[in-house]
Amino acid sequence: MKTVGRCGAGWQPAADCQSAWPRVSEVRTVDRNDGRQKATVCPTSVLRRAVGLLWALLRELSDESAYQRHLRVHGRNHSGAEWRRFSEERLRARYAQGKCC
Amino acid sequence: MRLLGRVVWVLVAAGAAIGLGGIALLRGEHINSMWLVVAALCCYAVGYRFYAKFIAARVMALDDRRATPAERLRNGHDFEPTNRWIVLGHHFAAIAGPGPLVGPVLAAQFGYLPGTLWIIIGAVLGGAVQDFVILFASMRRDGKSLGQMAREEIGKLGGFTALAAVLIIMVILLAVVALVVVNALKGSPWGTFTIAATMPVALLMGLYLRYWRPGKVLETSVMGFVLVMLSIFAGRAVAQDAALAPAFTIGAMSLAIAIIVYGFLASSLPVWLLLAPRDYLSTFVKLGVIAMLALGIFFVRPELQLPAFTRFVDGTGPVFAGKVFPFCFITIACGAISGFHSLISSGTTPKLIAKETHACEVGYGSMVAESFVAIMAMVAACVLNPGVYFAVNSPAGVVGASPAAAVTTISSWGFPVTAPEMASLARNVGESSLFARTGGAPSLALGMAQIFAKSGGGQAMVGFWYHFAIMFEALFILTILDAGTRVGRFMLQDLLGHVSKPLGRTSWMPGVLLTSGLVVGAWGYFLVQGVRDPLGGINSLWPLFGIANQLLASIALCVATTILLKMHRRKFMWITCVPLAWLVTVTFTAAWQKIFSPIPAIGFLAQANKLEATLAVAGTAAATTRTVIFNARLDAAICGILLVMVAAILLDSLRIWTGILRGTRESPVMETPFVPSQLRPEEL
Repeated sequence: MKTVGRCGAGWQPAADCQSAWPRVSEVRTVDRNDGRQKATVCPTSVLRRAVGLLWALLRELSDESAYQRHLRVHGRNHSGAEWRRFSEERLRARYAQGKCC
Repeated sequence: MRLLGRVVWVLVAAGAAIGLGGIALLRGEHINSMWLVVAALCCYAVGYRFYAKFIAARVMALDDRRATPAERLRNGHDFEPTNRWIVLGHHFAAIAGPGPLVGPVLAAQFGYLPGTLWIIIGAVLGGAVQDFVILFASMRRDGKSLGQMAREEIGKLGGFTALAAVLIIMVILLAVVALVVVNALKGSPWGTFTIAATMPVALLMGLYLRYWRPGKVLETSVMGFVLVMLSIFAGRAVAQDAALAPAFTIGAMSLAIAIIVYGFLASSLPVWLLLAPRDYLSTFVKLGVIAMLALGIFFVRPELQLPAFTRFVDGTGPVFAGKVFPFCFITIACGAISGFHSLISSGTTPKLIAKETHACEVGYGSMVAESFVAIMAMVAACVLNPGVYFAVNSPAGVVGASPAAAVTTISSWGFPVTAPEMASLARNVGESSLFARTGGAPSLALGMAQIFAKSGGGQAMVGFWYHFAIMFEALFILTILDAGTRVGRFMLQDLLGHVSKPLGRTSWMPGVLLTSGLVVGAWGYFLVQGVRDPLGGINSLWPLFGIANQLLASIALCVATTILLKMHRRKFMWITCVPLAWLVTVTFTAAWQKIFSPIPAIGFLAQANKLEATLAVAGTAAATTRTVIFNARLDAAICGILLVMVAAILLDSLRIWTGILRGTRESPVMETPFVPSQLRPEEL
């Protein structure tokens, strides 16, 4: 069997297995006999990805990710005034819509 | 499909069939809640894997090579390609409100079966399809709103009806959810203190986030959560304190006035100070509690105490009057099919979808997740002793004002309950009485408290869990009140801006105060009406809300059907037409009965006539009775307006569809042109 993806065979967490949440948690292996690829799953990577997804969701719901994007897009640094500017614009758009029942 | 996959799906389908068969056929014994859970989860899985994927592939032909608005219009703010699971969580958090929690609890008066079947079947074949198709349509139109799509695809009448429906729903929704809070907090010093404490906590969070730790929303929310938890413990101390308890023991009318004043002030304050911090907190608490409830149900696997059907399917129910058809189907809206979701599906979400195929998970998947929340609420209501359920949810005007009268009436229905049993239960949760706590929230909190206490903490923690559940419900209901009043104000200012320019400016304080006052006055009027209603208010307001919500779903499905026809998918138009036909039937029947039924508990006009006759015989000038008569006629008029709106949008849509099918009408597809996606996999 030859490992072609991230996460080494035998669930050895390789360096690139510890990448950020969007990475695939699959290990693709090639069977030497028939040459077909098989997908298996790295459990540590799955757990890490799940936690990463949850964290990313919390940051998205809390607008912290949107604020980071805002800073990146406008090439600005974080400051109290910048947060207030971002927050006012964001909240104005958000509360132009009602909350769902 | 590989053999193993086929075997798995056969097993899942068998699980769905056995689960549904079990809950439908098992009689004469208490069934375990796992039957409902397994039936629901298997049905959702089959629905998603086969029906949603069929719609995605064959009907909408989702194409990942096509750039979504999130990619084409990417600006780092509204438009941003986002990981599908994050969008799913975001969308679910946006659509999950009090509706899927309260509706099933109220509908449990018919027994667990009608509501459960409607929640599962309605979501899989109707609600999830509506959310998915509208999300798809908005995504192909640069994230346009439902109102804009209705105007463009059907015509000005469709657009106007959607706008008017949103306004009516908003007013009725705000009144009914405020009534739920009033009924949960009346005479409860513990609950009132806890909810009152959330306001200074939210203000502190707002100031902390703006001036002391800008941008640290998660940190602020954790701090707010800790403070709110402490306020629950402090609430117990307040309730037990002889000097403080009376100050927080407030009657229904005083609470209603307090909430109206709060609504006015909160919607006039800057968003960052109160609304936004509490919204962040309530979103996290909501997701956490839903997850906790799911884990609790899996862990405890409680038995359902309510039967599959109760005698009240005949329309004589104490919680609300009306037969199982059509009232079960308008009482449970958000857990099965909800028009309000179409506003969210055509709001923020389409601007975050990175790939077209993600719309399937997000649109369909979020709705079935919400449907599962409704199933959990049904379980929480049905684990209660039926006598307790009816004692809590029946208004004093139906079962009698004294505990002795109430337990006699409820026991005579075949649901034995005693006054000492109710007193002991009230004592356990730190309340003076649990009789006539209509609105669904207290009985849901009781059921949740039982499940949580069995999961950990034991009976000693029942009081804490009960008030934790009340806090959780009230927290996001108050957020809805604040945000809804604000939206109503914006809509009104937009309208009044045509009459007087300053009134249209959201920065002009007199205009803000005037329009806030008008919106608060509108929902406040219905709230006071609900408090005064001898039948408890929920009996008249919840059906009105359900009808209005389903009207909006009908508009959304009309828009969806029109778009499918314009896409030359006429052989698949049944996917939206079948739920539409059902909704129109349900809405028409319910609205007609609410206006014209000769039974006073159901028909508004019959109720007004009965009260008028009483007034004439008694000869006393009872001002309250005259107000109730006026309110009943007002409710009948609103129901009539909703009926006319359903008919108008339907006839207008039928005119368009006939033209398209006959080939006599041009039917340009309003989609944005195809642009190939350049998004790299690592950007997702």
